[in-house]
Amino acid sequence: MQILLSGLATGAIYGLVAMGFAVAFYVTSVINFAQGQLLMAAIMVAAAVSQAGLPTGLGIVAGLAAAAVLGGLVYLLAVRPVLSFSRFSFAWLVSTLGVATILEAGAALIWGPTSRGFPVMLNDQPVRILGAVVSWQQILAIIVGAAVLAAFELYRRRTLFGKLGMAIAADPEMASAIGANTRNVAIAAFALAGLLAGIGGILVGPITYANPYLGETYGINGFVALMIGGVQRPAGAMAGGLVLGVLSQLANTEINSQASDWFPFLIVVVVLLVTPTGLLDAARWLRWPSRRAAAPSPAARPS
Amino acid sequence: MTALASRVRRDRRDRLGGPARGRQAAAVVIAVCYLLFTQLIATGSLYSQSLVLTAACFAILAISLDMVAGMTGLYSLGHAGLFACGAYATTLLNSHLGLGVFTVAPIAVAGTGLVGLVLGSLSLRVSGLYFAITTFIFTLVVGVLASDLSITGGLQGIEGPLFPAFPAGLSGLGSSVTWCVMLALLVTIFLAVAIRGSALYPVLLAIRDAEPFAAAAGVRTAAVKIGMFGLSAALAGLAGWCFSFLGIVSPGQFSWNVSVNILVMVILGGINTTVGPIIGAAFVSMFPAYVNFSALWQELLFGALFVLVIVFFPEGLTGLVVRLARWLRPRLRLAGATTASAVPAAAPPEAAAAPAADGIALRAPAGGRKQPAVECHNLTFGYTRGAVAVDNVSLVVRGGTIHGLIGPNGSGKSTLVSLIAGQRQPAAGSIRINGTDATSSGPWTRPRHGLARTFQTAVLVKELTARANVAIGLYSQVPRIALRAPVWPLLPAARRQGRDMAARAGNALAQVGMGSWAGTRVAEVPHGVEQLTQLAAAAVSGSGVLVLDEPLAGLSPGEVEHVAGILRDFRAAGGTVIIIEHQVQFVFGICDEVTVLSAGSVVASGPAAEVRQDARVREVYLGQ
Amino acid sequence: MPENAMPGNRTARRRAILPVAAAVAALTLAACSSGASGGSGASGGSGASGGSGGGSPILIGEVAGTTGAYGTTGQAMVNGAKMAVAYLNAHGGIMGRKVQLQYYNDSASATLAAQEFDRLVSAGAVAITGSGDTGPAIAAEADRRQVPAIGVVDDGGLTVYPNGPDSAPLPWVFDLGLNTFAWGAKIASYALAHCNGLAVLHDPTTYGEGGEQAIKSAYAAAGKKLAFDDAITENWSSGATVGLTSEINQIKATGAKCVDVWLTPQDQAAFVQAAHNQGADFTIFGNDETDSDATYSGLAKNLANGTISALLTSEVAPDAALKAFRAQYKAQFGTPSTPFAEATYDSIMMLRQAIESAKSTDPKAVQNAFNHISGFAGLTGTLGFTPSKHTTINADQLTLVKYDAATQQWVPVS
Repeated sequence: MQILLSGLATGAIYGLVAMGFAVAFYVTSVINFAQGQLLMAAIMVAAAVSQAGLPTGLGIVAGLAAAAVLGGLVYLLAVRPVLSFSRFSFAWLVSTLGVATILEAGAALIWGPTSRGFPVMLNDQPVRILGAVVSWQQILAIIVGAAVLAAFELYRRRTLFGKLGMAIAADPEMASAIGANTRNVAIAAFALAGLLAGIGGILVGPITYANPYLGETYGINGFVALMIGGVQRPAGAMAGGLVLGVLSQLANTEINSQASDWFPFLIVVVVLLVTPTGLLDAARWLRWPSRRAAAPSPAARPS
Repeated sequence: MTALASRVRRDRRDRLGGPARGRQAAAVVIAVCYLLFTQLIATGSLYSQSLVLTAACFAILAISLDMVAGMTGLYSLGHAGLFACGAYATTLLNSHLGLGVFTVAPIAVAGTGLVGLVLGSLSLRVSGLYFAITTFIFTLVVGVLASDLSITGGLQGIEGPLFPAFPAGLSGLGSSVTWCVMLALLVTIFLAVAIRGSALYPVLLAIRDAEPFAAAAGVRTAAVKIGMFGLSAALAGLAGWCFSFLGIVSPGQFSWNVSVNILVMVILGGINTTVGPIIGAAFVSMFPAYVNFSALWQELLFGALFVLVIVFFPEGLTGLVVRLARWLRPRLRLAGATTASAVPAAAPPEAAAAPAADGIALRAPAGGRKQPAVECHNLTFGYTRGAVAVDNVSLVVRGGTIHGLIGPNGSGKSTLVSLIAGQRQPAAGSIRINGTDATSSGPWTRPRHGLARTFQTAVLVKELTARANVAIGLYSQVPRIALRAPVWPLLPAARRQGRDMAARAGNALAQVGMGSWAGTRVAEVPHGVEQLTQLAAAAVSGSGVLVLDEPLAGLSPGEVEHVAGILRDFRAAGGTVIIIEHQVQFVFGICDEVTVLSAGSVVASGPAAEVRQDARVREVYLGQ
Repeated sequence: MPENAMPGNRTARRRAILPVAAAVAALTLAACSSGASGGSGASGGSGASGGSGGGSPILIGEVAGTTGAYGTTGQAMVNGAKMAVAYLNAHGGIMGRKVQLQYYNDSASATLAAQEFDRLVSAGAVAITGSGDTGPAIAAEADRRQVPAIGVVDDGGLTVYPNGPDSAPLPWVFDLGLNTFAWGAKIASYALAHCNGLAVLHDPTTYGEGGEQAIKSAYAAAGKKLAFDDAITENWSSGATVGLTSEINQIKATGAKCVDVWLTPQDQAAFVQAAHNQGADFTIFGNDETDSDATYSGLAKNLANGTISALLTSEVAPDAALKAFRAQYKAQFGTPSTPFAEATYDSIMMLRQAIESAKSTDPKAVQNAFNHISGFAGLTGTLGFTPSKHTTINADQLTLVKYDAATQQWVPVS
């Protein structure tokens, strides 16, 4: 039980980051490698605001806002200009990583390279559930993770904006022909991705404190979660995150403390070998087998 | 007699040939300068050696990445992991098994190459983005192994092996490590130049930009991709071997950041050029040396550099220089500078073809005209479950005829053609080409069976000339191009074959009336020329069966007549043509037999005149 | 006529091949004659001999990690070196020559550290001080280039004595830094007397391994074993780990009441927080980083109350010289001084004494002089080296201290 709860709590954070990856990818076919740094930005801004004496709530809002704004900026500055290159269709790979480096070094310049304190929030109040002990902060993480997932699915299916996102994802040219402003929707998608990462940051901040180099750890873990769950769908990404969190905790407990380094990669390698497009897609495949069918893959889509 | 005479003429021309001679002289001068530079560094300070040799290792890596990313279009983020394999293998084998550094070299290089082959074959099942991701994860895994295993010394790493110094007599040459690494770089440069100048280069570009075209020309694209990746991995292993002599091998040097750095080096210098990766490697690896005022600012600037380079200078430094040269040329009237100087076109010299060289020479099919060229029986295929694109289609195309394939949009014509061409495999039914069963074999087998095809949207390599594109069509006729490519300049037979291919391609273009366009890049030719270039590429392979998918799209009436003439000549020489077209008048004017498809089924099939009168055909067309 | 009988081509090719062939032949000769293990490394030049006296400045090199999780440590080392060099230049330099400091950031990368070491040696550095993160790499290079590495060479401990505390030290490393063997032994002595079972969590580098080895051997000497002992990989930049809950529960299960968390200060704080949440009532021990600055106490706040670590006795009761140094450091750099700055300062002062007693900047002479310094009055204590002892700090120069959250001070344990 302990493993499950702790794992879900950690996994919820990974899932949020992974959802951010997936949302941005869904609309633009771009993997934003600065995603982890957006999580870090939220943590750093919130910590800075709270250390300046202002109320924690304000810090949280500021942190989330910062992450969302930075997300949109990443699209405008690093992704949009390079999408039109026919020669080198993975230019965004390099540019988003460049932005990630800039954000990380920038945060270290502004706030120094060592960890600073973060508002405790609910992290100092433990609760016993069925023999396991977790902090309320961790429960909060799980609840928020589930809530975000539900809200996202609702939003996507029911509102016009959500459907717009789906339309652009399916056929960008057609969508812009019928008047959808692809640029604004893409910016919104990236901002949403930033917001998701920011939420993850606020949730995990009390545990990790505020450090400019957190982005790399959570970015990589979020990415691994994404690969497990499937790049295609944000819901899959969250599922992948939860799976990753629980399995990491399991490995940590059962094998040794260093197992959580390589165990996630073992899982990813196995998953990729078996189902190159992630677990959730595999589930779909199992329902509709067709010999040599051309499965819709991002590589086939016009980028 | 004339053949011999023409060969003599060719030889003499080569001996006196200006451009070739000039290129060789330049190569010698460059080699000498390179060796002098090496001598200078080898006897210089420790620090300059450290800088230059690190840059050299990264230059090897950058060139190896350019081979797969620039030439073949495989964006690998795994090269840091392969680099690590080479470095750690060298160090561990030396320290634990006591093997000498030169004994370890082939093991490290070949071993890393093997890892590359495995990684490549696993990653290439789903191409493009997933390839990048899978190689990325490979680097992460190698990094974790390097950090966590005690045998690799963990985060602090292990000390690399000592490179033996020169014996006393040669000590004037200075540091032996310097000579070793610089020579390794020279070998790498040679390999890159060799491949770039071989007949494989246009094929690689085709795999990168127009993979179906390459496959249809007989290239086993998956095997070539994996092979190139293996070669690239072996070179990365070589870089690792060299790097281990420079000090300490620690995981921080092989993180995924390094993979991206190598990609940036390639782009910054100029992707798909020979010198580009070297310049990029020198710049990026020496960056921390001259941007030294504050560690954090340096990191920030480094990240900013990535973004700026990719957004504003995607062609890299070499691209800038080329653009500058082009801008300057008319002003300075530089004679002899070619248009695409930084993007070497297919290297075989574009000398005027000797008249005796063949262009489109039909290979007569085994059974002669009587045997059916293409037979389809009960073909069924659907893209997704439930939607059937080709439904129980049977078709017989007799040898020596032009067979039209018409029908409304969505009737399955292109799908049928892709089945015949091997691009897709039918769910049921069989296909025979020139008597041989070809139901489940891939598109690269078609030239062997005697079938060639063109595509609806012309897929050619835009940055190559028309002649080079057509030469790709000869791939199936010249043996072992891929295997010989890395040592191409050393093989006189290979060089001669390269020249022959260029000559034949030029002749083929002339035969379709496009001879004057032979030396122009496809990016700059009109649409009609592109279509005919495609046609020439298909025909030059000597296949007896041509499958043309809407070859007349976008052509003027004059051009249409021209194509009609070509096809009639082809038929007269014994060839067979299957042609999809929407221009009904053209079809019924030229075709001997016509098949009409609608909604995936055959509505009518037979001699053109009969089909034209068929009531069902009228219904299918008018009813829409 | 055969294809390749074309004189032009053949001559051109020959011209190109000749220099390459010559070089290849030379390389083969090198391989054959030298065999598997060869000469003393890449180049003949060893550098580092000082100039021929007179006015040319003496160069002291420094390699320190000024970015990353331990960035403040590296920065402190640089600051301490700057103060030392400034002092020397204001007081006549060394043997009448000016002193120059050149420092580089190694970003905690062993490879970079080695390259920077080489670079400094190339430039003629007399000795290199550092590095706090990459000691083993620096030590290896010092050995290769035969130039002394002094000051805070990582954790002391296993870096200086790779085969354990009773073996011979590396001949070219003179460590004034906070020796993990000393800290480990001190903490173990307290734990043996007061703890009902001790668990150790450490990082897998020589830093963590050194502390763990010292504690384990102290326990073994007393005939006891550790209740729990595990390595935790830390993200070297952020010090963040996945989560320490399972370790906490495993330790609880052993019944041990004491835990030495030999990790980064931020991970120590995270551990304390998680342990509190899990309802575990542990006595927490730290390492030399725990009390060297306010990172741990600042993050853990009240939960740090009762954490035990050790300080240099000279820090607990600072003498006039140390007080003056601290005041000047604070005024100059705006942050409080740390033992890393003080140890680096001491190392450069000792270097001055070594050079002056050897009357030369030749590396061998300097090394010899270092091996015979004793009774040196440094900020970090009375220091000295012998040919078999290359660390200045050992357990009896330490005082155990406990954190008092009310006063936010580390006070000696009675």
